[in-house]
Amino acid sequence: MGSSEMDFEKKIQNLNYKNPMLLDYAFNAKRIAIIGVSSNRERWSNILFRRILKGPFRGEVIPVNPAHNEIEGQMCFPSILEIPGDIDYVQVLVPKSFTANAIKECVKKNVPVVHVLASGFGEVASGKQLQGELLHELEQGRTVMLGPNSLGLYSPRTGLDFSEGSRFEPGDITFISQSGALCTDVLSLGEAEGLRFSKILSVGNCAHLDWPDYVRYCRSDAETGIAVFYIESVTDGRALFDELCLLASVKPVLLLKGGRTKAGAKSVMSHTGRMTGEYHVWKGMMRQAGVVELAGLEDMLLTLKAWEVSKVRKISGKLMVVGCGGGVSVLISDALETESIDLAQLSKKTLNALHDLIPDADEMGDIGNPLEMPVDRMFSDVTKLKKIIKTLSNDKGVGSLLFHFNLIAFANQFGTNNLDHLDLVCNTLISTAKDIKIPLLLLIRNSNVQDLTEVIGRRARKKLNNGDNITLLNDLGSALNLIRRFPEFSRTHKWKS
Amino acid sequence: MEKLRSLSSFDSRALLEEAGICFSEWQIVNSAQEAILVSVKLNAPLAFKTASAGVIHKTEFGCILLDVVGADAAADAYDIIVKRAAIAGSLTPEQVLIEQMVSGIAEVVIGLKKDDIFGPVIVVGMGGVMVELFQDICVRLCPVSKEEAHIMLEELSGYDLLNGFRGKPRTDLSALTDAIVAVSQLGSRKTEIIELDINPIIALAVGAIAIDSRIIVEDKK
Repeated sequence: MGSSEMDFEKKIQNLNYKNPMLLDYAFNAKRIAIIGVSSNRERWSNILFRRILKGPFRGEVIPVNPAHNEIEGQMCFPSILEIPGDIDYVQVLVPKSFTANAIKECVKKNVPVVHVLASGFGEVASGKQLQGELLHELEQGRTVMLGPNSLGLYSPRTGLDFSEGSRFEPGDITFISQSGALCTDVLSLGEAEGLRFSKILSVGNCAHLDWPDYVRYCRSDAETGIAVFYIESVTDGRALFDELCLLASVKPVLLLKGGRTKAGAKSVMSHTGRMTGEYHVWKGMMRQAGVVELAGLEDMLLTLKAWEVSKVRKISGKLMVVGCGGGVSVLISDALETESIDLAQLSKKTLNALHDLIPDADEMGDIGNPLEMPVDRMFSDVTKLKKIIKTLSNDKGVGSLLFHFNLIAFANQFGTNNLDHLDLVCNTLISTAKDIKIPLLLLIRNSNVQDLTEVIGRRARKKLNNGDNITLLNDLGSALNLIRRFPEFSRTHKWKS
Repeated sequence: MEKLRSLSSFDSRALLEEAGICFSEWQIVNSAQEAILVSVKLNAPLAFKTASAGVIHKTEFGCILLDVVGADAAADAYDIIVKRAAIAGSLTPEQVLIEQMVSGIAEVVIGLKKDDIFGPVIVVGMGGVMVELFQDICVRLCPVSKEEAHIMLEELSGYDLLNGFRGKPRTDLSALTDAIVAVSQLGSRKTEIIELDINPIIALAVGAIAIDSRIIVEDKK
């Protein structure tokens, strides 16, 4: 090491420099060590170790425990300092009283990222001193710490995770959360909904790396296309705001704020003081920074789904609604109006083409938007179905298409077990969706009615779920909430300009 | 040790005027005789309020009298305010503020608050009952640009009232946003301010005039 490099080393140590970009070592880890792996197969540390050992992680995983020479057939080291070579990422699973020593050794070994699972640190009064000891050890080097009280991370590219059954299909969504439980929920529910993550990070107490650092990481990380945060508390609000402004100017940012307590204000002698609660300030901060405010977990998943839609097809223009059942169309129109979502005005050319396709249209009422057709006419002739959808999607005023598919009506018309015709309809929808240039949103209604639609419902969902440019929705509320988020990801938005 | 203190009417107005906020014509008097002289000089109707920093809740103690017209009424109003301010615990009840009343198109509240997490924040809301009843407020971190100030007004449910609702004249949005920007900059600059209210600022077709203000500061020892 040259003298100037040594000077730099010294400088960044003196400045108590913590570099969030070191997280890349953890997300792309090739060699990880786990301190405190038990040989007892019922202990959490052993379960976790085996999961990584047997799971899709392609790198090397080394157990550390002074009481054993070998655990699960792997050579075990008494201390991390005894392991030859570099380690990218260390998970510390020892009880809290042994954590400071583990951190000390990680710092000494120059481990880039250490993750502390144990709780009972800064989040409780009795643990504040212990947390201070961890920080003191970290000040001696460059190691950055995740946690304490952190569940760790999910990185589909390397095959690291914290949940059983992950799909490990990498995407561009990065979710960073102060709640570990929410990490596993969002991963499992999100993957089931077709969301693909770049990384998920449980940050716990944020004792060392803190929210501004994580936001900065997302800005620099090329694999993050959209950043989602679940924040309960932050120490330096201004630093967070500044980083959010920077991030939101280059990527979409979604934020769910947990814990909407009233502020412990110093004074409530003024109107302003009485009226302005903590959440008002968060809300204002998010708007000012250009961050999308999320209302809850469902909203998060639907907003991310809208993001995924925007990657498959451009989002622009207005909505076309088509399906069978007049009443439902009317209710959908009403709900759209309440949400101020505009319906597309069909061109004369489209209207003429529809009249040609549906010659007896006048008996069914006017052709327009929403377009409603009786179930037999809609689904008997799938060639016609395809032509209708294509005609609508070719209209320049139509930006996206919401197709509502009522399985009760379908079962009554074609039989509860008419799988052949169901397959034909599903295949037609799949091939049509692939051909058209606008997003196809498929609202499958009543897919789980006992003895009537449960068989065809399950089959339809399974088939359509894999369709390119098909977004499946279960209920009208979800459909509306998804569409409501479209402007955030529209072609004209700042990130896409 | 930190101590919170309310600025006197004179001091809070002086601070805000220096920051660029316009107030209606006003003067502080110390006797009934002075009150008569000022009432002749200013345009009626007038508002009489205690100028004492010690009285926080002026309305609750009846320390504000509105629509005062003429010399006799001015002398009576002065005496009433002094008595009530003394009951309210004022150490300087003889100080009474007289100001020209203004009627405009709509009332707006502009405030500052020092947030524990984000530091000084600016709060804008519709004045009168709207602000308390409907919590029709909008918050930003200080300071804000004129453009952001405009977005804040647009976010209020009562924005239509400012923007020419049902044939009413449109208010001077530029003057309002100037006031918001000025207060937000004051919040960034004067970190000792814990809370500030301009309640209300009257939105006119031309200009925006502050009527009442209150500033709470923290004395650092």
